[in-house]
Parts: sequence; structure tokens; C-alpha cells
Amino acid sequence: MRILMKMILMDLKRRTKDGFVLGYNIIFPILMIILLGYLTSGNYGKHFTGYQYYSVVMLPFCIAMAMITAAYAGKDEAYKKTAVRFLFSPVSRIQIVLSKLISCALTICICNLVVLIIAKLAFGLPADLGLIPIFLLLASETFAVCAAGLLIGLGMKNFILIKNLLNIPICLAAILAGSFYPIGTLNSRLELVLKLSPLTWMNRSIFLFLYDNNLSLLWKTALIFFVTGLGLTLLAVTFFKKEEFIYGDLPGYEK
Amino acid sequence: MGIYLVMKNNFKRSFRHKALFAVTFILPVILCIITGAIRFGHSSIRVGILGLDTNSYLSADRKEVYEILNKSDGLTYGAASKGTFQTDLILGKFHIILDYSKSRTINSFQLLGNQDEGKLLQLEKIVKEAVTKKQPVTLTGLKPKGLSVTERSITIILTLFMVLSTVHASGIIRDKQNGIVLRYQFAKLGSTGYAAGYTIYNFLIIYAQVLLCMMALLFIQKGFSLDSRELFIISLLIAVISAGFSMLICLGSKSEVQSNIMASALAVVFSLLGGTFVAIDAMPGLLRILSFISPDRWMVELLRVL
Repeated sequence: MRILMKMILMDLKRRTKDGFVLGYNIIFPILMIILLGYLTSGNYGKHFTGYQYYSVVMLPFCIAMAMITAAYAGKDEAYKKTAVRFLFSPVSRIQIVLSKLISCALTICICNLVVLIIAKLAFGLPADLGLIPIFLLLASETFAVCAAGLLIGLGMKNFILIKNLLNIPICLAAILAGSFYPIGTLNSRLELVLKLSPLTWMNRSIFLFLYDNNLSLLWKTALIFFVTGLGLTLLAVTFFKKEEFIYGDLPGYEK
Repeated sequence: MGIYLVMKNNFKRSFRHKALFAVTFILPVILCIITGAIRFGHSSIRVGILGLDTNSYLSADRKEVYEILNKSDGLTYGAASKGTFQTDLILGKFHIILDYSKSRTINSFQLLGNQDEGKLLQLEKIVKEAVTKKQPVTLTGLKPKGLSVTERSITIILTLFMVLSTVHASGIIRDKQNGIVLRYQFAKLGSTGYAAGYTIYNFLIIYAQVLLCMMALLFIQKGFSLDSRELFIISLLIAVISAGFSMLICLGSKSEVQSNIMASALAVVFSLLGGTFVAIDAMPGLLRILSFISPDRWMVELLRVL
């Protein structure tokens, strides 16, 4: 446990020192909320504004994009040439995966909380029932996303291909979920397609909670993401590849 | 010569792993076809009906409301649920909701929507008038004129390829880190040539992908139409813009992850400013001016000229 704590702290230091991670998870969503809220200001009235809409949909999208950050976190030791030291030390692969997972998830959760508080204070997000359920839902998504990222970063050989193609399905899921513009429909077939995106469920859960005082979907979605996260963590530990951990930085290694 | 060698070498590298190359080539095309084929912002106005079927006062008249809505052009309707109607309005399932839960007559409904009050009042007046006179509801013209199916599909494809081309272009960052660019410079060839060779390689791949994507959309997408001249010019421009954009991003990025995320973020911003989702006429003045920096807008303008 002591070793795991030390590893988490070390990884946390790394994450919090990474300006790009913080910028992408705090500054980018806020800028997008301002830009998109302003862009769509003509479509909304005073009761519900574009700023409120994008405050809700931007966070799950940015968390999903953090999968790439988590995948690279899995390669940290390979890039920094410290992987061999880890293998010589009395550290298990569970500890390696968990330290990376916890540090990534914690950093992103803190960023989410900052954005959520700013959204409430600056954009008037109506959180009469409190921000805690939303934060827990976002935390469960963060957990699942980071676990998926680590599975890719530590457990897959063709990492280069996967991480390069990763932002395509994420952007597609975001479009379907209305992260850039609401695309609701009454067409049952298209509705089914929209429901295939996990971000659709995230956005819907938060809106239902905030505007219809309906919490049931939020807890279900949070639970599904949490269980998925647990499953992916198990897979990341099971498929942990020593070769990827040590030599994952080498050009052509994936070949 | 140097440019040609870089391009040739990149093709060799790609073809060495045929299966991998096939995946990176085909998968984006499939994704673009799926995304391009989604009919965003369909012109019909979606109306939700709340509480009409459960309202005992209106049991004799409810058929009339459905008949009026059925006869109305450019309008689709569906039942709204009490527990989710606010979310349905926010997520765009319905543009407006006719709330009959407290009504005693069919024209005394409450109109719910997220639009500004003036617009809601205007909509309410139109719908109430139509219901009173038992005439079809005419709401067309209230929505700002957006892009046509072809224009929207093309802007979406451009956005996606701006993101996707970075996948191929980001190899230059790896080459820089591995000293390949330095070796190239030792051969008395400028690094500009290396970037140019990479851009041409990237351009050729994207051009083939865009062409495939466009031709597939011509067959499967209803309302998507381009003649052969437009197809050639638009595909060429999408490939040029995407290749140039991705190379600029990669040259300015320190790592692959940075380039990928930057490309996604910028492409989305350009797409939004270009009117892909929100009609340019409906944007605030400042953003209407800013939209000129978006290649998506220029692409749409060009398509209209063609």
C-alpha cells in the first residue's frame, strides 16, 4: 500500500505539472463553453441559455478525450526511460496500472470540479439539488475513460494506430450526443443511432437531473460507467505487456 | 528530388504494413460516410404534445389537434413525457411543446420552448390561430436558413478530414524525435523539403479517401448532389486544406498527443464558425465576422458559386 501511495503521488506530480493536461481539461472546456454559448445565443432565451447547455455537454466530451491522455500516461515510463527501474523494483503490475489510473482519474476529476464550479458561478448552471451527483457521474466516466486509455497504452501492441484513430470515434460520439449542437430527432432509427453514443446518456442524465429533477438515469449511468471502468481496469492488468511498458516508445516497435 | 524521396519513403513505410495501412485508410472513410450521411438539422419543426391524451376535458377534441398537425407541412410531432419534457426540449427532440395538461379547450394550451420570449409568443400566436381556425400550422420560415444537405455533408467531411489527416501527418513529429529529419538535413536538404514531401504524401492519401467518401455519399445520401467538376474541385480542396492544416499543427506541436488534440479542437471550432451546425445568419455579429477565418465557410461559399 505504501509503495502504491508513493507511486500515485509521483504520478500525480507528473500529471499536475503537465500544462497541456490541465489546459485541455480546464481552459479548453471553458473556452468552448464561452465560444459555443455565444455562438448559439440567438437560439436561446433568458430562462435557458446556450452557456448552460454547453456547460453540461462539454465536460463529458472533454473527459472522453482524456482517454488519449491516459493512453500516453501508460507510455510515460517508456518515454522517460524509467521503465526498467520499475521492473527491477518490488512493484507489481497491478500497482503500476492502479497508480497510473488513480493519478490520471484524480487529476481529471479535480479539473472537472473546477470547471463545474466555474459553470455554476459564471454561467448560472442551475444546481439547486447540488453538484455532487453530477460530479460523481463525471468521476465514474473519468474512471472508465482512464481505464480504457490505460488498456490501450499498456495492453495493446498497435498503440500508435489505436491512439491515432481514437479521436475519430470520440468526436463521432460527441456529435451524436449533441456536444456541439443538439441533434434530437423523432425518427426512431436515428434516435437509436444517437443512443449508441455513451455521451448521449451522460448528457441526458445531467439534463434530466438539472432540469427535470430526475436522478434515476444519472445513478444508472454512473453505475454502468463505474462497472465498465472496473472491467477495463481488470483487462488493463490482465493484458499488461511488459514489452510495451519498457519499449513502447521505440519507433516501429508496434510493427 | 528531396521532396519526392520523402514522399516515396512514406508510401514505402505505409505499404510495408498492408493490413495496418488498409485499416487507417478504410476506417476513416467509413466513419466519414456514416457522419456525412446523418441528416443534421432537418428542416422540419418538431412539436411535442404534453398531456393531451390524459386530459379528460379534451377527450372529444384531441383527434382534431392531431388532424391539424397531420395536415401541417414541415412539421413532425410526438408525445412528450411529463418527467422528461425539459430535457427533450434542451436536447432538441422537440423544438416546442404544446402543454395541454391544464387546458380545458384545444386552443388554450401553454407553449413551452427554450427560445426567447418574443419568438415563443410569435409561435404561440401562429399555432393558436391555426388550431382555432382548424387550419394547418405554418411554421416554415421561422427557422433561420441553414446549409443544404450537400453543403452540410461537405463541411462535416472537411472537419473530419482535418482531424484525420493529422493521424498521417503526426508521423513527422516521430521522425523529428527519432532524428530522421536531422539526417535529412545532413544530406544538405532543408527541413522545409521534408515537410513538403510529407504534406504531398498526406495529401495524396486524403484525396483518395475524400473521393471515395464523396462517391459513396452520392449513392447513399438522399439530397447529396455534386457534378463531376464540383466533385473534383471540392475533393481537391478538402484534401489541400486538410493536408496543409495538419502539417501546420504538427510542425507547431511538441508531441503527437498535442497535435491530435489540437487538430480536433481547432477543426471543431472552424466547423462551428463555418455554420455547420448553427446558421451563419443566426450567429451574433462578431462571430459572423469571425466566421470568415473558417475554411468551412469558404467551402460552402465556393460550392454556391460553382
